[in-house]
Amino acid sequence: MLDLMEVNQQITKMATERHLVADDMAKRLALAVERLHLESDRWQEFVDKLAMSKTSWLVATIHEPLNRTYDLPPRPETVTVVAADGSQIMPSHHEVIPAFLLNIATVVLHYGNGGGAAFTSTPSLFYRDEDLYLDYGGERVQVTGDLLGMRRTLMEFGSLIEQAVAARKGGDVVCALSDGSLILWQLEGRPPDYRESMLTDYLACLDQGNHQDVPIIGYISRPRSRDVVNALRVGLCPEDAPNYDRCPYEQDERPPCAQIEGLTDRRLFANLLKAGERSQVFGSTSRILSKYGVHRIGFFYLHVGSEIVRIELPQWVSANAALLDLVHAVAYDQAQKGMGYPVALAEAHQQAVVRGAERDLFYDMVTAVFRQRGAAMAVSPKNLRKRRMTV
Amino acid sequence: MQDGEIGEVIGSSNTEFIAESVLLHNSPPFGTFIKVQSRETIYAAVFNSYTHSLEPNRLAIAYHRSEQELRDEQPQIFELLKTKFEAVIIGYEFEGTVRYHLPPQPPRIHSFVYPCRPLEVRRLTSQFHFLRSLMSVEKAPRDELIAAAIRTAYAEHKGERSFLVKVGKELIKIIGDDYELLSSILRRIQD
Repeated sequence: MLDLMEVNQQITKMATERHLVADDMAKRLALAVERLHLESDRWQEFVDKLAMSKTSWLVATIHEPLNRTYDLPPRPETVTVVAADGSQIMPSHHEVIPAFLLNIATVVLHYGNGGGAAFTSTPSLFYRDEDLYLDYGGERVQVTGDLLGMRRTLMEFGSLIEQAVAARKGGDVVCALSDGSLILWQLEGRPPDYRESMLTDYLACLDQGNHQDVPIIGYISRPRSRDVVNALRVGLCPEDAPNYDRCPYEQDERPPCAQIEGLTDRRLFANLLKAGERSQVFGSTSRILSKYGVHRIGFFYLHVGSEIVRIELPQWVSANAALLDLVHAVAYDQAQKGMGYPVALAEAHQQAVVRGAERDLFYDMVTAVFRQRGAAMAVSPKNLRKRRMTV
Repeated sequence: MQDGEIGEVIGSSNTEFIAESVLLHNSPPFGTFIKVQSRETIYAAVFNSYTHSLEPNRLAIAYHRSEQELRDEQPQIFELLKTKFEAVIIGYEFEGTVRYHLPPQPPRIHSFVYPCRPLEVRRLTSQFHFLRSLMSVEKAPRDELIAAAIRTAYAEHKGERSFLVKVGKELIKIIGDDYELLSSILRRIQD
């Protein structure tokens, strides 16, 4: 049981501390905005300095002045927007079986031609040993947490592309929306065999999109990334070729680059972009992208009215002016239609979500079927106890 | 699915049932006759219909757009709304003849609902037992429902004045001395 009195005191303390931080952040932001305009005026030198620097952070790759903005292009009158999302019932060894369930949903919305909407929601049950365990890097590991998340991501992506390509073959102009990042940084540090196998499947989906001229974007609401702020931090370094391995300011209480530390790109671009406008397409230096080939992911920030979002997109989308305009217009329009968040992604989530009651029902169904077949079944004593408390 | 069904039963009892309409905003009209293809063919009269969000926690809101604009720019809405209708059971068919009492079993869930053909309406309403079933409805204004059903029936009796005379006599028998109700029904039949 939660001691609400105790929590309340901690909340008050948190609010006070956050207030102090907010004051400090406003000062940092003002400096960052000033630096952004300054570096924009001499952006080619800035690019050179970035190229010579060595940092441990992700630093945005820049192709034009940082303060360059792009107006909202018109959305094609008829366009089809496809989105996918998934949810899961996690494997639990306290339940009757250690199986897990993935529910993958897709949404296809036809705009401008009365083509209507189509929803799918497809559950898949995983129960075999080869589903529940993975052999990689010479070890046998249970599929849960990140590994389960990765499997789900691949299934979502597969369904997304399948629906998008089907709509494209029907002659539609199509834009595919994925929730979250297209940069699979989670794969860094995983054993090479696993990483390769996941990436191959993922990139095969992007390949299909590329061949069919279906742009695929990752929509990140309230992004926490700092790639552009990090670039400005490099700019703040008095060194000609900053190198974090040999930083002369390391022992300083406040090194030059720390003056704007802690800011997010989203706060920076909130000061720069007007509703509908986007930034340039920045490059990402995420290490995993070296494996992406033609699908190398870049990103731009977009003011959708209610917030600054980060849109990630493969190189073949950003290199094609028509596709770039399409994703810009669609991302903005989707957020308007969905009152701040893309309606296609919100509906896909709604279709995919597995609620607590459904989870319980799922295990009830499993138990019933096993009982009917006379199998000896047991929920762990711990779980039974949680379901029925006594005094 | 067979051709021509207008709905599917999603809840039922011995006296009435509720069905989901195949078409959004297109339930069978109030006071018309429908049938369910269940074990027997069950006949009923529509006394209510409504459209609402599929999910209880999602409310409809005003978009201030025409329906065509919404169909073009918010197509998901129409996938998330459902039209339902409720009907009171007035009889069923057993071994080729219409029985004017309640069926032994309620309509099965997921049975299809069809509109009654003109000939079936004539047959159902050539006896006046259906009026008694309509009198028992509590979820709709009785005068409105009975008058609407009589207007539907009269349309299939091709303007026979004698039909209206017989209905009038039957109503007097059923309603008794509730003059208010009777005159209210008669007024609504004439309109």
